[in-house]
Amino acid sequence: MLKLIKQYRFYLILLLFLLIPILSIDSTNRTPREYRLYDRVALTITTPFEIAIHWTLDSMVTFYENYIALWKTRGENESLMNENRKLVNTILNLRELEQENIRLRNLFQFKENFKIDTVMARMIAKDVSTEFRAIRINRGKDSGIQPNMAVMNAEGVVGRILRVDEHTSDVVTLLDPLSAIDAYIMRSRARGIVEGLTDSLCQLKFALRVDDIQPGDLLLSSGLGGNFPKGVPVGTIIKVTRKSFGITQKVEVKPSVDFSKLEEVLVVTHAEAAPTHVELIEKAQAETPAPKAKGRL
Amino acid sequence: MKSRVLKILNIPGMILIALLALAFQGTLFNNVSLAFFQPDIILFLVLWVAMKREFTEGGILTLIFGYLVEIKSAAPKGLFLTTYMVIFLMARFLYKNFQVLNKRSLVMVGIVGAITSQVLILFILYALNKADNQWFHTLQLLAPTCITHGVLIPFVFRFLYKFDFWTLKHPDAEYRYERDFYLDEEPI
Repeated sequence: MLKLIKQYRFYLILLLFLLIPILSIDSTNRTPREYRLYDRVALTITTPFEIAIHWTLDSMVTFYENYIALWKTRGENESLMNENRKLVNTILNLRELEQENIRLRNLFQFKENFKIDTVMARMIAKDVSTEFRAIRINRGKDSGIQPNMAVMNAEGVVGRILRVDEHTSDVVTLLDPLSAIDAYIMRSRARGIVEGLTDSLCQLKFALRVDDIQPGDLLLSSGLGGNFPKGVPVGTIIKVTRKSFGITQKVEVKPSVDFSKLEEVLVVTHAEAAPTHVELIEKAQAETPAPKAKGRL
Repeated sequence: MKSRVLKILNIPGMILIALLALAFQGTLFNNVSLAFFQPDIILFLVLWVAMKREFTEGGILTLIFGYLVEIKSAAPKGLFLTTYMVIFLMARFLYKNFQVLNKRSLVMVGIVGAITSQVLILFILYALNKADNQWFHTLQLLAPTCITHGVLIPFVFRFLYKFDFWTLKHPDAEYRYERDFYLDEEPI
């Protein structure tokens, strides 16, 4: 028997080598398995190596990400900061443009309301002295601007042209003591002259003591003198003081225009005279269609 | 005495190499894109023992290698044992009947071994009715696997030759102990 085994040793071993794997094949479908003792030995040997390799790789990746990759970070940070600054500037410019667009639209609408020819101008400077409240605009003779022309914006009367250069003009604002604009109270039609008083207030002079003027009344330009169109807002009455004697009353006016935020203005180069009552009636009659004559048979 | 100890250390050394190789394979190629080029180092070891060991010793080592792979894999039990054993027998048969003389023939051995391994796994999975879309996966991996194995087999075999040389397993080791060795110079 032993001799037989020795004689066919190779084939026996070959058979064994083929049988062991085939018999070990597990045909069941993904049944849970458990590690046997000798499996655990193999795992015990390999696990520390796996942990070590994993740790080494992880350390290398971490080292690369935290040190080597950060070499460029400073430069990237600077370029991103620059880009951020540019973007912030762009956003601010866009917001500025949006605001400007709103203001210009208002100005345009204002211009449409009054039949006037205007030149749009931008404020470029303020009066150097604190006593006077004039501004300088970027339009002058070359734009057809002349002294005494009215200056307005969408909110109301700004002032009048004091002097004109080729490319710039000085505007005496409503707040300046040298300013004088004829105006009337919209509610009671009481009249007076608006003059500058302080940095934020004007006064209505020559308003008769018997005139009905109350705080909150709206003051409009009268159109007298031909510079300002009639009906442009000048300001709002905020305080009325009547003494027991005298022929006038003291009236304080808050200008319609916020001079602290003044940027664009319209210079009125030509203002149409306000239509008279008769003209308005004639115009209305002309627009109404004439009644048809009754039919002929 | 020293040579005996060294020779005895060869087999545990081979098993340790297999375990280290498995540790590498399980950790180094976690990335999906790297997985396409993951070498089967155990396949190299099987091919090596098929060519360089006695039939019994090589067969037992192949069974051990297959078993170690199965511990580390979720594959059906017996899959790698069978695959590696078939490859072992085929490689041994071819090696004994044909000549593997130089690096080119070695590269061919690596490529053919990789293809055979993939096809055998696919075949066994089909036999077990566990390969619904496995053929597509195999086709995807076939070309990169062949390239990887073809490229790596000379290096792995050079290392294993040196290992055998150090452990005095190689017949000429004691004579060539002091000489430099390059795989291309040696018939495998």
